Amino acid sequence: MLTIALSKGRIFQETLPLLQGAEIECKENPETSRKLILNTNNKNIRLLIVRASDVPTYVECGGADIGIAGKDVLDEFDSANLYQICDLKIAKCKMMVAGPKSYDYQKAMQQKSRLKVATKYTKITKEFFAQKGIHIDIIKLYGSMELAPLVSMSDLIVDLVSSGQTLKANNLVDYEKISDISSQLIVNKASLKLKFDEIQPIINAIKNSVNEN
Amino acid sequence: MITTWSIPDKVEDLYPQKALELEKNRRVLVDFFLKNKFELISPAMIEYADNVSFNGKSVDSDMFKLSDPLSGRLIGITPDLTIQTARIDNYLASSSNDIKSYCYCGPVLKADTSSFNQSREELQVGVEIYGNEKIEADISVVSTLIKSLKLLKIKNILLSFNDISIYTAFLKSLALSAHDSKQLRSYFAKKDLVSIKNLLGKNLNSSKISKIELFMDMFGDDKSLKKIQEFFVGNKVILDRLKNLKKIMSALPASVKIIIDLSDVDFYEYHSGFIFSAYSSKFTSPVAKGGRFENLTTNFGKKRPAVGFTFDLRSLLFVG
Repeated sequence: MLTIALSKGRIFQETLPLLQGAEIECKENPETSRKLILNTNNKNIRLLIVRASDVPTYVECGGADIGIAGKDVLDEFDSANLYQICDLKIAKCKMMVAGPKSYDYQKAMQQKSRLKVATKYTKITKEFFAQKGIHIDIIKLYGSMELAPLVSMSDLIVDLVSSGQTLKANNLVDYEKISDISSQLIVNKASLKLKFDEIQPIINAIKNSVNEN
Repeated sequence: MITTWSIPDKVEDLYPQKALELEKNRRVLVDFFLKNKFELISPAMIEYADNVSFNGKSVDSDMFKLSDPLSGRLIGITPDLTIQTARIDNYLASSSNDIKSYCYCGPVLKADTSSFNQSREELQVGVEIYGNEKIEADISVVSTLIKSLKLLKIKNILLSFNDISIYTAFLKSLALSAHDSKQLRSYFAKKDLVSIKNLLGKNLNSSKISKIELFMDMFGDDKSLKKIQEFFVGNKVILDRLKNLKKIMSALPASVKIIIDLSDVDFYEYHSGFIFSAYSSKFTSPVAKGGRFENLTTNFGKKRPAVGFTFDLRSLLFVG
């Protein structure tokens, strides 16, 4: 039995055509079903519906063999026990440093100012500013990061930016890109080896679908 | 009533049933090793930290360190018995060619563990052969590992083979900085091409990036060996290493499945040639790891070829 962990919403919708390339079709719609384990047309393959940020944990702990997870979650999670086997080039966005329009970002970088940064990506943020030699105080938030600089709680935010509309609506601008983000196909290290004959054809088929798109 | 957990994270007490099971497994294995002419050693639990530090950051960062009140020097609680064994061998071997076979079973402590279910306290069991550079030593060590795991009733064993010198030679051909090379190793271990592109994208041309991508695809069962050989056509050193892997594979029982994975480089930095991991169903990480470590012994005086494996007996108690 192979288990694939993925999250509802955009990632699920954009993953379906890739899974179809590997002849895996989900029989149920996770948006309308309350089931957390969904069957597929292949009786040896099932889907687990989990929170996006939990996908790497399920794969690392062996609850799932394969998963679809955002590069943002993977870089923050930093697991040594899974492979990031293929960039699926879906759910694309950017990890950005952003802040109020009035903020002089370039000057702060040149002066190596000590900054307050609000984010839920604490590891990625620390590493990014450490490379610049800038000390930061992190304010860990779980959502609505845009609020923090508006109420003078932080100088900057680090967050995912897709269209930029939320930043614009809150009078914020993006200052610097940290990285491009997209969904990755991840595989438990032991599963890839122990179930090589079952998993490798799926990986190859998904890679082909990604290249065709 | 106990309201707080009274021992540190990622260590555990063994209660009677598990403690007895552990002791039985230890006896079975040590008896098996002795019967197969491995000499039992029991390395010291603490070691001067600088004896370990020179072997590379990965061992050093795994080690609990404290100040020795007797000498004032920094000492470490050993995270891995291979280094101690190399030091002991340096005293016991009469010459560089003197073949010595050791076994051990002792506690080690790891300052941190990347795996979600791994305890920081291990009962590390292992065998090591020093002074024999021939392939027969590699085969003997892997065969001993297979028999050891079978004695512990671990089923469906799969071995993952690599030769770290192939990765080292490949990396050298990319002519990277020391910083990038070090960072790259962790990305290779995850087959994380996106992070490699982010790290090297500005400094490497697209043909080299494609080469890295192809190298990471050098993975599969024995049938994939041909594809790997074709990739390295003209590189005699690497082709010889692949031939060596093939010979070891041929010498093992057909019932043991073997995978080759050239980007499986998640090993201590003292390894220098043939490396391997053992997997089994029900375990979500490798059950055992081992390989060649010629460079390690040089630090203690004699340059000695060496090969061995280790695994944690305690972790085997909590599966199934």
